[in-house]
Amino acid sequence: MAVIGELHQIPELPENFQLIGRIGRGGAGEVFSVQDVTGKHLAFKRINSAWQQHEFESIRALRALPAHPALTQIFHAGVLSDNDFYYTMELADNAGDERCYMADTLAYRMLSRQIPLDELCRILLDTAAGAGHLHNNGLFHGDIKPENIIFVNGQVKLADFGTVKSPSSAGTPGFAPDNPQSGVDCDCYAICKILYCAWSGLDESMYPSLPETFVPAELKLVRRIYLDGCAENFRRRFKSAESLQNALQFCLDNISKPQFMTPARRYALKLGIGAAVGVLALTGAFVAGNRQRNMSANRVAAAYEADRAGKIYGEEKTPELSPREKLLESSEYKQAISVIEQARWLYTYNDYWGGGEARKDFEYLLQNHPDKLAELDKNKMQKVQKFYQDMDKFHTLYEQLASGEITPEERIKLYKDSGFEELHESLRKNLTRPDALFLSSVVEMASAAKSGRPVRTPREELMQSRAYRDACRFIELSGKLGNDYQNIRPMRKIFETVFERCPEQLDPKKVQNVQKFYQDLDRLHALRQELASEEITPEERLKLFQTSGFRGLYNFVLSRSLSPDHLFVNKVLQLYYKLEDSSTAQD
Amino acid sequence: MYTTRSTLLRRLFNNDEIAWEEFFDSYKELLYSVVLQHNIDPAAADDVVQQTMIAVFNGGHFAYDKNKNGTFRSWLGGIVRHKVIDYLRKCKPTEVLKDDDIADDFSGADELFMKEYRQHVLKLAIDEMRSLVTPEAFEAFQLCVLRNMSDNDAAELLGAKPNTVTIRKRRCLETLRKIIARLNLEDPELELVWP
Repeated sequence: MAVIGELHQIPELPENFQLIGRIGRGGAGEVFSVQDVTGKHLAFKRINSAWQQHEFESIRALRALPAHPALTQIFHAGVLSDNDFYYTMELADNAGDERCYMADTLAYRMLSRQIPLDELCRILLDTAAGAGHLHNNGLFHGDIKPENIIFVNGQVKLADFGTVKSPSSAGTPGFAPDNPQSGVDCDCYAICKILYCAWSGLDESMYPSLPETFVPAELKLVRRIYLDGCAENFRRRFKSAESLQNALQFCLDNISKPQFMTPARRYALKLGIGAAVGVLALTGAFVAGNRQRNMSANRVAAAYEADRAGKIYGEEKTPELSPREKLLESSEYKQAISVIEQARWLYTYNDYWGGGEARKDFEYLLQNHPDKLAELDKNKMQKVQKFYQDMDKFHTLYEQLASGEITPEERIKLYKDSGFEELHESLRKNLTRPDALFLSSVVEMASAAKSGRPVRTPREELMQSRAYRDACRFIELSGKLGNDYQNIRPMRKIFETVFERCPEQLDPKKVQNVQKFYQDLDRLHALRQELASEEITPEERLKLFQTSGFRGLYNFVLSRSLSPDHLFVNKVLQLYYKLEDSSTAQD
Repeated sequence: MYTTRSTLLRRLFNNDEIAWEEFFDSYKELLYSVVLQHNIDPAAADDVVQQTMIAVFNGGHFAYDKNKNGTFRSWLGGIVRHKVIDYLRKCKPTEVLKDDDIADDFSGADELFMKEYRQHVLKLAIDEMRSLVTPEAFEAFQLCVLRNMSDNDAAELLGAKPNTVTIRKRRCLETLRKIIARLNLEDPELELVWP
C-alpha cells in the first residue's frame, strides 16, 4: 500500500505497528493506515487531547459489548508517548488502486455511482442491525452518515463511533433531527436520510426534493421510509432500529415486483385501511423479541403496508376521514400505541431481574414452605405474589394489544378497559426498586430446601449464629453485674457525699476514676436494658450490640468492679464517718 | 438551509464566514451561466467567476454599499460585466478593444443578467418554500407544478388521494406567491412573476 497524505506530524507509534500513511483527519483526531507485526493492515486512530475523555469512554463502552458483524472491531487501545490516546480498528477496503488508497465507504460509493435500491437496502439493513446492537446495549452511534459506513471484506460496518454525545448534540447537520428525542431516534433518522440521499443522488440539503429521474415503484417504496423516518413530528419517526429494519426489509422484498400489488396491499384492502399506527414497530419487535411468536415475516410486512396504506400525514385533513381514520389520527389512540410500544421492553421480563430465577424460587417456597415465607415477612410475600400476578396479566394483555389480529377499535377498548397504562407503570416502578433483601432471602431459602438443608428464615439463621448467641450471653451476664463499686456495699452515696463535701482531702485522680466507673456502669445498664428489650428485633439487637461496643464496656466495668482500690475506699469511708459524726454532734 | 437574500446580505456585511460560503454556493451558478452566455469556454468561465467573487469580497470584506452601489443586483451585474471584459481583453491583447465594440458585445448583457438573476431568485424562493411546507406537500408541488404531472398521476405515484394532492399543491403555490411578493418588495425592479 502506497503512502498517501502528508507525513509530517507523524505520531510515534508503539513498536508493534508500522506506519503506512495517513488516511483521514477529523475534528477528533487523525486516522492512519498501519501494519502490525503479523502484516495485518489496520486503521490507527490518534485522538486529540480535547476529545480524549469522550473517545476513551466510547471505546471502553464499545469494547465491553459482544462483537457484531456490522460494527467495526476495535483491536487495541493505548496511550502514545505524547500522552495522546489511540486505538486500532479494522481498516476499510481499498476502493482505489495500489498507488492510492481510498477508503471504501458508502460516501465514496455514492459519489462513484448510483447504488441500486436493492443493494442500498441491504447496506442499510446491516447498518440498522449494527445500530440496533448498540441500542440494545444502552449505547447509540450519534454520527451515522455515509462517511461512517465502511466496507471491510465487503461487509458493511459502522465506524467512527467517536464521542458519545447527548442526543441534543449528536450528528452531522443534515443527518440529525432538529428535535432529537433519544440516541435511537438520532441513529434511525440518520439512516433514513442516508436512504434518501443515496437513492435520489441529491444532497441532504435538497430533502425532500425528488430526483430528475426515478423509478415510480421505487419512489413508492422508499419515500414512505424516509418521509416517516425524517419527519419533523418525532412521533412519526422510527422508534427502534428493529422497526426500521422491518421497513427496509419490506422495501427490499418488494423492489423487483413490477406491479406494486403485494400480498400486503391485498391484506390492507381486506382490513379496509387502518391497522394500528406503528403496528410494524409492535409486530416487528414482537418477531424480534425473546419469545416465540406465530407471526411470519409476510404478516409483518402486511401489517406495515396496512398501516401505511391510505394514511394521511401532516397537518392537512381531508374532509372525508372515515371513523377508523379519525380513530387512528386521534391523540388518544396515538398515546395508547406509544405506551404499548414503550411496554415492549417489559414484555421481555418475567421477573424482577428479567431472568425469572427469583420467581421460580419464590413459587417453589410458596408451594412447599408457605409458612416459612410468611414467617419471613407476610406483607412482602403478598406484595411479591401480586407483582407476579400483575406481570402475568401484563403479558397476556400485551400479546393481545400488540397482535395484528385485532382491529384498532378493539385495541383502544381493550387498552382502556384493562387499565394497561397503569399496570405498566406499576410494574415499571416495582422493577426499578425491587425488594432485593427479601428476594435474596427467598433465593437462599429455596436453595437450602432444594439441597436438603433445613429451611430457615434469615432471622432464624441469625439467631442460630455464633455472633448472636455470643451477644445474648453478654447481655445476660451484664445483668448480674450489680449497680455499685465493689459490689459489696452501697458505696455510691458515700462517694457522692464525700466528693461533694471534702474533695480537697482526696487524690483528684482517684476521684475521677471512681466517677468514671459509675458513668460507665450507668451506660452499661442503659444499653443492657435496650438490648434486652422485647421491642427490638434480633437483627437490631445484634447490630446494636456490635456498634455500641457493649462487649468492651462490659469487660471494662467488670474488671474495675472485681479489683477496686481498697485503700481509697477505706479513706473515703473514714471521711464519711467523720462527716456523720460532726453532723450528729451539731444536732 | 435557505437564507433570504436580505438576511444573507446582512450577514455578509458582518463578515460572517459561513455567509460567504453560502453566498458563493448560492450565486456561483448564476454567475457561471451569465459568463457562459458570452461564449467563454467553461474552464475560463471558472476563472472569471472566481475573479468576480474576489471583487465582491474585496480585501476580505463584503464590498457592496447600498448607498453608493445601487441595488445589489445591478452592482453584481456590473462586476461580472467588468470581469468578462477584462478576460476578453486578455484574450485579444494585440487588438485594442474599443468601447463601442464592448458596448456591442454587451448590448444585451443587462437584460441577460436580469433573466438569469430572476431564475436564480426564483430557485431560492422555491428553496425557501420547501422549508416552510410539509415534505408531502413539496412532493406534490414538484410533480404537479414543476414537472407538469396531472393531479391524478401524482396522487397515484404518491399513494395519496387526488384531492389531497391538489390541496397540497395549492398550499405550496400560495406560500411561494407570498415569498415572491416579498422579494419584489425588496427589489422593485426584479418584477418576479410566478408563471
